[in-house]
Amino acid sequence: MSSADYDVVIVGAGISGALIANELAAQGAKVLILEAGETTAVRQTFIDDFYAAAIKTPGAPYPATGDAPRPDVPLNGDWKNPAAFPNDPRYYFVQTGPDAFGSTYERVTGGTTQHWLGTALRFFPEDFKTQTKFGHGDDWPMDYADLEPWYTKAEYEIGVAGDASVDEKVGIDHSKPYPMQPVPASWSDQVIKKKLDGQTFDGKTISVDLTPQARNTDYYDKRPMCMGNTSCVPVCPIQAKYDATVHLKKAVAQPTPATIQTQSVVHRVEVDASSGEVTGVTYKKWDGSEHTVTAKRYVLAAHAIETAKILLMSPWKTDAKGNDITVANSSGLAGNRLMDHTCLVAWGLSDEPLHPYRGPLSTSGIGAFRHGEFRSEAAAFRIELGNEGWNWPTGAPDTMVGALVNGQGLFGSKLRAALHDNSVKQVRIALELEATALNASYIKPSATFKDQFGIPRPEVHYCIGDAAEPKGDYTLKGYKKAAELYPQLFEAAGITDHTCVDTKPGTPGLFTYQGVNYQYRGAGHVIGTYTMGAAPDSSVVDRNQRCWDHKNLFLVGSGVFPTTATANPTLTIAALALWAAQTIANDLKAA
Amino acid sequence: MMMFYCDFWSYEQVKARAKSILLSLQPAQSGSNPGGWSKLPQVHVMPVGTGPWPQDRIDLFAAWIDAGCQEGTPDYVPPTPGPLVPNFIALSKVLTGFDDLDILGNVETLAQIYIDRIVARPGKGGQLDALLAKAEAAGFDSVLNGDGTIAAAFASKAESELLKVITLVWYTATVGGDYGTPQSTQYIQGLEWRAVAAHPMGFANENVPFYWQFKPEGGLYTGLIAWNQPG
Repeated sequence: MSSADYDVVIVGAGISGALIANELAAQGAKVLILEAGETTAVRQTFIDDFYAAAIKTPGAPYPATGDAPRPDVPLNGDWKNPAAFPNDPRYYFVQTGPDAFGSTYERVTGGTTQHWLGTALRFFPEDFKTQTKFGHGDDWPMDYADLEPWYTKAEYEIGVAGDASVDEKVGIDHSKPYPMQPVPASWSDQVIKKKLDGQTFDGKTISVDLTPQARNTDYYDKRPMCMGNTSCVPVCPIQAKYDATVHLKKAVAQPTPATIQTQSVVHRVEVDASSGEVTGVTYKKWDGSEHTVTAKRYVLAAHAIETAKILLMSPWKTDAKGNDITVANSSGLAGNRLMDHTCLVAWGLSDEPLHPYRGPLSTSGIGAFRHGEFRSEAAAFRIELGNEGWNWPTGAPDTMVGALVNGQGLFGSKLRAALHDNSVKQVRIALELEATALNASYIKPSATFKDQFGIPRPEVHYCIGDAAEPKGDYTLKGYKKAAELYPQLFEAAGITDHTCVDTKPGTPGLFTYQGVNYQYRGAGHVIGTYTMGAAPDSSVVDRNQRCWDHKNLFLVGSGVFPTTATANPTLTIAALALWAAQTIANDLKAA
Repeated sequence: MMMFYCDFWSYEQVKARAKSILLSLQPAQSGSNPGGWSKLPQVHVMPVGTGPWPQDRIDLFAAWIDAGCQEGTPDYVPPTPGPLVPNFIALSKVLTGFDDLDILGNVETLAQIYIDRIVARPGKGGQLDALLAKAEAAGFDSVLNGDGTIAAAFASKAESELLKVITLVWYTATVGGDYGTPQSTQYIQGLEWRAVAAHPMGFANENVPFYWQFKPEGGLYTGLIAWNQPG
């Protein structure tokens, strides 16, 4: 192995890749990051593109074409039409499942942290043991206490503003306080909190609490404090919100600088069939040339969908029965158990002005339904309070202006007043549901549809619930519970419900359960496609995120999560990446 | 309303504020300015870019000022306001309910950009001239009834469609699904944001820390106006 090009090759310049690269480079390792997409050095370009975009999806500021294609939010209509790509990135996924997969990611330096919201929640201790406690999902091969030091390190690395007492009162212990004071609650949060706190719904007492966020409330890590631009998704204009370019810059500034090579699309992991050792990763540069690079350790950090796709495109061996086995897949689980936090989005008009469209997109949430005994029956969920009026579900204020002018024929000062009076009372919440791991939900390389290089596009077969599988309706039961709960919260908070479910056939996210129509939206939390576990036959990686099948290959990111829990995944992704970095560093020292 | 805003795409604005910009480019001592990397605490630099400018870039900017702020060749030249602009602005004020249609001091240019976009719609070329002439003759206020609807004299299908397009472009910066945005300045000047009493998403000008925790009052805490600037 002494002739390897690098100590470590990392595939993907998102948060996992950036944190691992920086940790290892700081310890003197020679690190290469291969990134499929382009560099994101010029923030103004993204801001201009965001301002200019007619529909401001999470992907709006980022390159939609080029040689590292990525999905965009599926809109109404024919979301199953893979032939529409490459003209329309909404069809990059080849969707073959019964339900629409609504979440997306970015293929640029910084990865999907370019467009993430910044919410940095920890898991509950019970989230790691849901099989033992609730008979649902797989237990993680670790306890909360094992991960806690890494949560703390992650919070200081990426810079999280929060109030640890919010967690501690519900049993999520912190060994250190957050590095920054919490992001203050919006006016809207404060009004709702006054009306809801202390009331009991469905056996749970409500507390509207500040959300821990990777968003500066002080000058931290050479980045400014948040100025409330209200565009965290898709782009923070001043980088008060953490994104992974922060650690990419650190990694290339180390005494042994990491190398970041963009426009390099990895499509195969090379394995020595007899020893099982990974011997290289092969990539195509955007000029079409193909290269293989070697290292002592390899890390796939290319997002839950692209990483699984790379594994499934990499031949390894033929088993005793004559079946072809792909890399890291002796368990057969690579690409399987695709999950997402789906959201029930609800919106309404308050009986008093809340003044939305100001501040970070969300500053508070309700955690009461994230934990508890009911999880033996139905999915848990977190309730996020929005600060952006009806912008997410309806496209307001643009659409509201259109409705007033075109629909009601209003102009002049009457128009201005009507728009004001409606908009200042708008509120939106999202009930983000725990998912369940289903065999009917998976990704694989498309046999038919390829990208510009002839690399298969991801075939996404997504299913939100499957009555044929054990606990297969767990998430659906959660929707029923969430849909029965939120109108009670609205009523208590003086909010008139304006939520509408688009029942037009073909609407992405539309499903029927026990005769009731529901509509979900993707949260961008793609989970579970190379799960970690305690044994090689029931998982792809061990608790160090090392492949059971290949001791020099690590898989990181939310693909390793056995279950989704209810926390936005990024903080846990970061904590696990830092853990993996230490394991890799120890490997390199021992070699 | 004029916000404290410098459009860095605008030669005239950069030239007028060149010395202030040079001052704000001076880097903070490490950690001395909680707001960012400039030594001036009130400077809210957007975008933050990659951090402090290197000294050679600052020196280059200083040399440009010393040489008299020579103008280069701009990537984008805004249109020169044409003869329709005065009537277009007069009608737009009535239709939108705003007497101050812009926030960057460029109302005539912005009006011409919108005229060009409206006229460019397929098959809609000559209608705007006629509508503006008719509205001027009748009196611009007479276009609307007291309840904010279109007066009968302007309610033909073609005229009411055009009145809607004019209103929507000022409010949303869109003509149909087209944002048509030279240098993005149309989006941030959309009147909808001021009607909502909030800043355009992605462009907050408020420099009160954590302004969003306050209920807006007197035009403050909206993200629209820096607190120490004239409203």
